[in-house]
Amino acid sequence: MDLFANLALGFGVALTPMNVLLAVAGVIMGTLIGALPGVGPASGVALLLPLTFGMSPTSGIILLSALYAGSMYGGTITSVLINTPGESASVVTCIDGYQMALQGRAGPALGVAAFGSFVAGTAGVVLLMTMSPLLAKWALSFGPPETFALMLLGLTTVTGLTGDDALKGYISMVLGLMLAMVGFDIVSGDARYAFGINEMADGVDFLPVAIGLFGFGEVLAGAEGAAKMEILHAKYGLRDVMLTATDWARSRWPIVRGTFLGFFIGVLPGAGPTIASFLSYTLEKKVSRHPEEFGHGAIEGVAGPESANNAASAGAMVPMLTLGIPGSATTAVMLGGLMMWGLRPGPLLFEKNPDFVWGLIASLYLANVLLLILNIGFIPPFERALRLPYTILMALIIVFCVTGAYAQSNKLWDVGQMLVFGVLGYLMRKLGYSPAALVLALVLGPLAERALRQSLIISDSGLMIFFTRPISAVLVIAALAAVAVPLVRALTDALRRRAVVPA
Amino acid sequence: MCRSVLSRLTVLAVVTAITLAGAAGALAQSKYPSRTVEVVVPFAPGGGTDNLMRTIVGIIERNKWSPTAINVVNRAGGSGTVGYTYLINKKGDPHVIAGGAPTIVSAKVEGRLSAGHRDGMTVLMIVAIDELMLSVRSESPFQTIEDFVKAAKDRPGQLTVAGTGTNSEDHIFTYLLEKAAGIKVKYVPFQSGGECVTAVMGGHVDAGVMNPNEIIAQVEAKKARNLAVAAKKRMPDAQGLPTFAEKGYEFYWEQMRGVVGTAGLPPEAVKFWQETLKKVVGTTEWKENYIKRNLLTAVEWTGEEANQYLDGLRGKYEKALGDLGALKK
Repeated sequence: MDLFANLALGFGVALTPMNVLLAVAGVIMGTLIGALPGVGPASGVALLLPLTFGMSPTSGIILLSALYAGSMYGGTITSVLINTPGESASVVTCIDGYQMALQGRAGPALGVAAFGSFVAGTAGVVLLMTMSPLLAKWALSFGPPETFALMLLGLTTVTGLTGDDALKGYISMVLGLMLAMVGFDIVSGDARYAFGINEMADGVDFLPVAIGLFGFGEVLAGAEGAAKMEILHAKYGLRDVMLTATDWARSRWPIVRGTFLGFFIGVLPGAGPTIASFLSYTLEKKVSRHPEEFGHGAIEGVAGPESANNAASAGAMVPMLTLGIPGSATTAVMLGGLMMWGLRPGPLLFEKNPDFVWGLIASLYLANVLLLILNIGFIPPFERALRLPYTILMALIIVFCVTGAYAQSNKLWDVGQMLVFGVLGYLMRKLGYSPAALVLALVLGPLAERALRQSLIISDSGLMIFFTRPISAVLVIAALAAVAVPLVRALTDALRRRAVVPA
Repeated sequence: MCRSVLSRLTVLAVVTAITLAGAAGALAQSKYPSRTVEVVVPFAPGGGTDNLMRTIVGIIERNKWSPTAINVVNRAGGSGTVGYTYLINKKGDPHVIAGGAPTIVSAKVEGRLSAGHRDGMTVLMIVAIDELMLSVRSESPFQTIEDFVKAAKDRPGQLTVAGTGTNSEDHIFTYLLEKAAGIKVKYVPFQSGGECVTAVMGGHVDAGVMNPNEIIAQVEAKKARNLAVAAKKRMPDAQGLPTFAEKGYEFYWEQMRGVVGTAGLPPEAVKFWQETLKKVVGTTEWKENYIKRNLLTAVEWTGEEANQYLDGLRGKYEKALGDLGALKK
């Protein structure tokens, strides 16, 4: 009953006219910030932080968390419509979301993303509210060895991202891992493969790469067939925007799985919405009864990851609120805000500032409802954008790609990087390689490497550290099995065939 | 006659023109800043320098102390070198300033910046000193710093200490502690302060190097405890915490936080910033929500005083980084 009393307190705070207004402003700005490529939730929150200083801490956090939630919804829009990820957690949505748009099903893609986000966002807040103290403990049990094991498992699922040719998928992944090696080595402090260029010393930032591979690469590929593709076959009648009964049936479980997977990944320090969305995609492909449709507009490939990234952003609030530790870049900025408002984030926050914490939780419920309405309402006008002749749309996509690559950290270098990877993305597509596998490796690679090396420094027994700790042992064995089982199966199949042929 | 009038008129015109130009110049000078000021944060949002500059700019804007807009821009990269190189290249531009971190000294020593605090920028004010401490979680067997040192002596090279980055302030802290106490530990580098806290609180490492504000919330909740601080005297807000020196392991190490401008900044710009920053650090908001919250030591070092502090810091970095093998011969 304590819970309900607290929740009532929270809604009492969140439902004052001023705070509702701030939540509305937050979700609208967040949706726009999410939709603009390059300007992600972290920079959006940092941008608005000074505005909140005149407010009470509760009003401030309501504005910022509404913005955070909004950006998670908004990132989907450009991914689906123009194959250009609005922010990093929506990269994976490009794969099937854009294919759906090409088939004239942008409406259902955006619809299922909005609905999945709503379910996941809301369920995420319920989990946040009821299980935080328990989860905080669990999050702390994830040290470097466990993080490495999880990343390893993530990398082995890469076949889920690739098309028919597994070998080309692995080659794409290795290329991504090689790119992930560029930059400062955390242990020696040396810059690797930087060739004395400051920008290279930082490593290859993956958002410009993703914008290039998907967005700009798409323009190049599209330019070839532009004559044929005068207008994308978008339909915008109300009925075409709605999901069909089959869509619902197919999306139901991906949303549920994405919600839980995303939330628990989000709770882990260092992981976050981007990794959650990738893992959800590969999971959906693994469990799907028609995996061959993935990459060609499977609605599960949108429903799962879009749910996962929203659940993860709720999950990332757990270490922030219960431990005072940021789980992602965005929560790090919010933590800075908390301190400037005069609060002290940490284990005592729930106890000392219940109106703040519960106000935040209540406002997250509110934000998700607002976002569902907003996003469903936005679908028809956004779809109409696809009516533009492709030649004009192409120019617009290039504008989005360039500004997106620049806006993330105000560096022209990133624009160049985006262009180079755009050409590479075009070539990869032509030759049947997998840009998605490259991006996955580039996201997971640096985390995996750091965790591996930290583990080996800590370990007294070399690689055995991964098998002597229960969580990492289970994950590592699952990863090994994921690689070994298909290999063994292929081998036994080959042997059996050989046994039959001589007869 | 006609000619002399003409020449007189010319002289008059020239003089008038010069005077007018001069007056206009003076007018422009008294009107600094005359356009939007770019505040460079050479690190990602959410870090220490980002918090510092956003706090300062927030206070200035709320009090309307700047006639023009002030834009905070994160130019992160190369552990701060991208942003500081940008500042160095903006030489003479009075409308670009940046958050100052120890990187302006250490990256110069390491050869990653082309110029330092004296030749590449103008130090406007050092506003705070952030201490560094060794902390453990509450379940740890180490109750005091002596316990930790004893265990490290019993098991040389076995205890693990988490810190942020390699050849960083935390790394140098660990190295100085090893030398002062005659011990050897394993330093485990992490990407951010948050990750270090997680590693310490999860018991994945034996201890961690912390800024006070990174761990204070855990200490207040009795989930963690600090063993010692590398300061000259005990911190005013943590009187119970001994310094390393008083326990017989003498070393001092700290992080400075400040504001820097471009090299060759015109005097009126220096004046504007020093006066404005003085007003900022005088506000209750600054003292309560920034200094006290983050358990910092407030200072107001400007001009030669600030430069000399940084000169001293450079000597310390040269020595420590040389010993760590971070410097190329």
